[in-house]
Amino acid sequence: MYDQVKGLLRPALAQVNVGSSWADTLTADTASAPPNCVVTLGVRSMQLAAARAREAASWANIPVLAVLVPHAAFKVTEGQLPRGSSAVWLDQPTERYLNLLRVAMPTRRRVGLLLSPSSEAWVPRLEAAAIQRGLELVKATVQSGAKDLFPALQTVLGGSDVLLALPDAALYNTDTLQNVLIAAYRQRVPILSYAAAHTRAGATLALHTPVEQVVGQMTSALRALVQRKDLPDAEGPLGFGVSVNEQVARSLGLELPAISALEPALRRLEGRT
Amino acid sequence: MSRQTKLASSNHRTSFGWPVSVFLLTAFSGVAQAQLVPTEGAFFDDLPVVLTVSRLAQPLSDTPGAVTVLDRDAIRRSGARTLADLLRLVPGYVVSGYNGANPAAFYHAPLDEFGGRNLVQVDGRSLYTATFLGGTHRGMLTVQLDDIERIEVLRGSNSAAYGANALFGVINVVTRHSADTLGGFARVDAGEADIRDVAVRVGWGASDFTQRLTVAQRSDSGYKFVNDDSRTTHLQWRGDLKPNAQDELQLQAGYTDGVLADGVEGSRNNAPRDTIWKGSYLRGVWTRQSSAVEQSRWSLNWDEERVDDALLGIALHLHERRLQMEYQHQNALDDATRLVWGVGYKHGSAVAPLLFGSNERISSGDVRAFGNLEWKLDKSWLLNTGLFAGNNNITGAYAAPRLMMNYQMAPGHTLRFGVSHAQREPALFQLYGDVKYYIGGTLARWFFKPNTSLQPEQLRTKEITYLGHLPASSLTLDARLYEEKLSDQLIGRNNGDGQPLDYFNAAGGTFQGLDGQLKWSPNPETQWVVGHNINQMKFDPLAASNKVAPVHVTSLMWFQRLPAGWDMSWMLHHRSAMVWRVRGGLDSANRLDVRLAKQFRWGASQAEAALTVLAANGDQKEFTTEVPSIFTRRAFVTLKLGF
Repeated sequence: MYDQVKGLLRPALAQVNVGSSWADTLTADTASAPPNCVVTLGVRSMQLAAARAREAASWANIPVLAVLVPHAAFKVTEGQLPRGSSAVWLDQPTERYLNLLRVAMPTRRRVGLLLSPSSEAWVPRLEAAAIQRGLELVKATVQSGAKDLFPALQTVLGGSDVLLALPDAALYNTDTLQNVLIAAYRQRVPILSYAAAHTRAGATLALHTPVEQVVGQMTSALRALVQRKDLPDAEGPLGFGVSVNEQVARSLGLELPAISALEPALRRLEGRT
Repeated sequence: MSRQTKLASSNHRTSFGWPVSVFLLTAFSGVAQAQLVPTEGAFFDDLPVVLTVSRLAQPLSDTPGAVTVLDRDAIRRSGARTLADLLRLVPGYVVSGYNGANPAAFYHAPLDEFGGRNLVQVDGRSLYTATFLGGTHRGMLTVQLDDIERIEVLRGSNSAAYGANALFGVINVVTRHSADTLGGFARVDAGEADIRDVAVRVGWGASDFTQRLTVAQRSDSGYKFVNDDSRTTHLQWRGDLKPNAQDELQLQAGYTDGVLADGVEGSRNNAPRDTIWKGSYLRGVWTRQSSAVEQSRWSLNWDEERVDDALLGIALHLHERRLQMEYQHQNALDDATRLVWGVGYKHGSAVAPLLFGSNERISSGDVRAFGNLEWKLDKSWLLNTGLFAGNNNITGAYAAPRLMMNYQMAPGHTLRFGVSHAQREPALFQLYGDVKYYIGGTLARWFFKPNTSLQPEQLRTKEITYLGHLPASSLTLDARLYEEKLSDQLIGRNNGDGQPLDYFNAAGGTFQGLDGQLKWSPNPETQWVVGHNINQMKFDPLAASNKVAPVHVTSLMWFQRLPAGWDMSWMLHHRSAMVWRVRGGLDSANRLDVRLAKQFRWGASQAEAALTVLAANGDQKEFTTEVPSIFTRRAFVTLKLGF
């Protein structure tokens, strides 16, 4: 993925009237002439830029545009970034997951959801969105770590037609995802996840943010910077990608529309709401 | 979001050089780990492919035959207490029992009373007992419905995949993985007909080694006017180990103790008594995923049964042992072809002095090999060819081939055409049974004699099946048109006054008909299921002994989820007139089962309370008994708690 990002950056930057320099690390004498804006790609870059802003007075007022970061990570670092900073985070709006569900699996109305103490904050917005779409949320909170995950997963799988996996690092990581995929499949419950990599591993469906989308929004933000001298407000991805694991879908007896039909259908649905 | 405040100097241009310079920092994060602050890795890092082709179940449109799947929800909503009761939901199945303690399920018609012409498997372990008259009905009593993940019923013979005895089909019970049953569970049923059931289950462990233990007891008083009170007690354990990403080991052990009343008041040859049935089993399966498309499986099953009963007024003690070992390998030969093949050994033995006229252990061994090739000819055509062949040390070599062609007419609509040839081996008793009654050392009466020249029964099937989903999957139709010719049917023979009975291979007969099921969900809370079987039984009168199977067997079911956790089930089963054991036959019958349940939380646990009324529309005459036996209307309450 990282190589893909780097490959997209050069042509993207060529579209904007900016002079650019980049590095993989920040050293003491990096860019001795402070730039007008620092674009960070990834969480670690964002954290390094925040640290630099704290340490070096000359960097303290340079706005940072953080892209390719999860919303939760941005929220944690937001306060440490210079004023005028902005971001393009990776998380798709929660309503869009539910819209995708309506388009792809309209008969599956009971949506299972695992929550951790940090993601419980998403519940009110999710509940409202679910009710609006005639969906029912089946929730269970995992209090602490892997030990509680399985029992909570059983509660959720038992009462739901589809499992919605949202980006919550406390719940879904390389260790737990394999077991979640297998357990959900054993009980014939399809998974709607947030990363294309998950559908390759076995999730039935994923709503993800393509790298091209992120780079495109970065380019627009820089364009705004050039024209208005200000970065636009921090925002999530405007576009999306849908990926499907057809073999798993078939095995579950699901007849999902092709991606070429799902994406326009989802756009149409969003256009209406 | 913090916004830059306007600087005192209004000339912004001076704060920016020209052109605008931008510095990009690409210090990408390391591999995402469990941490509170997620990195972009969570969104982009690759995962190993977990659900590989060899792990995925065949979609129903690819199965070589019609399959009915009963999932946990269907099991819960049915109100069934035993596996046999549950099979009422499968089109073409007729459920009853020679008494209330011995329920059995039959496809099309009860040709026998012990479920001997089906194969019932639990996680691949056969419940078929080959000693007495061959059957699965006692083994079925051991299945705990709350521990079942799913039941797949293959309607139509499947000897090609499962070997001899899968004559009229295979009932494949898949139990829940122990990682899916962590925590505690308890269930109580109580009600009329002395229904008293209790089950307690505990599951524990970490993701690489989980276990569960279930202890349960089921009892009721069976039919009215019949001595058939039953009480079965069960202890079952399952453990699942996952030592690494490729390997899985499943272990099971269990013990059942059953007290099943039998016999008829006033009869001398069939005096009232309690049959004691004890069964224990051990099972181990090792599965290895060698690659995305290759899987190997080694399995070992050991079963032991002891029966204390009486036959013709004489005490009967039976001790049976079964051992089955198998190796199976699955691989994709290329993009369009998948091959499953395997080898196995099966050994069954019994000691039953009264049945065999000897204290010797009677045994039979069977070496077998099987294979199934799945070949996707093109986008719409899928061919399945299978063969199960072996050599039984008593009845000799046998082969059960099958050819099935699946044609996907349109997305969501599949037609299957197939022919197959299946076998059912004679039971040990039918071959070697030798029942003699002595009075004071002299032979008073010879009831039954052996016939070692018996050949396996043969079933030749031709079928066309259809599976269709209509738009938005709210309507599903599954239908099977069949012609099943049974030959060399094993039936008891009366050789004349004072002569011993024996078994012989009779002509047999033909079943022709259509069975199917229509499922309709007009909305996600509602499900209508209509099942029907029209069956013509054309049997040689001798073989049929005047039995006439019902021509129509129909089920009409309505499952409705109501607000606030309530749900209800209405199940109407209709059977047209038939002639069976009951002299004069039975008129057509309708039976209505109703269930009302509420799911709720009780503290930290999930609970369900339900009221089930079986035969709500009135008492039912059961068809496989001689005395007037009545399945009375019975209501019972169920309480389940998961914690």
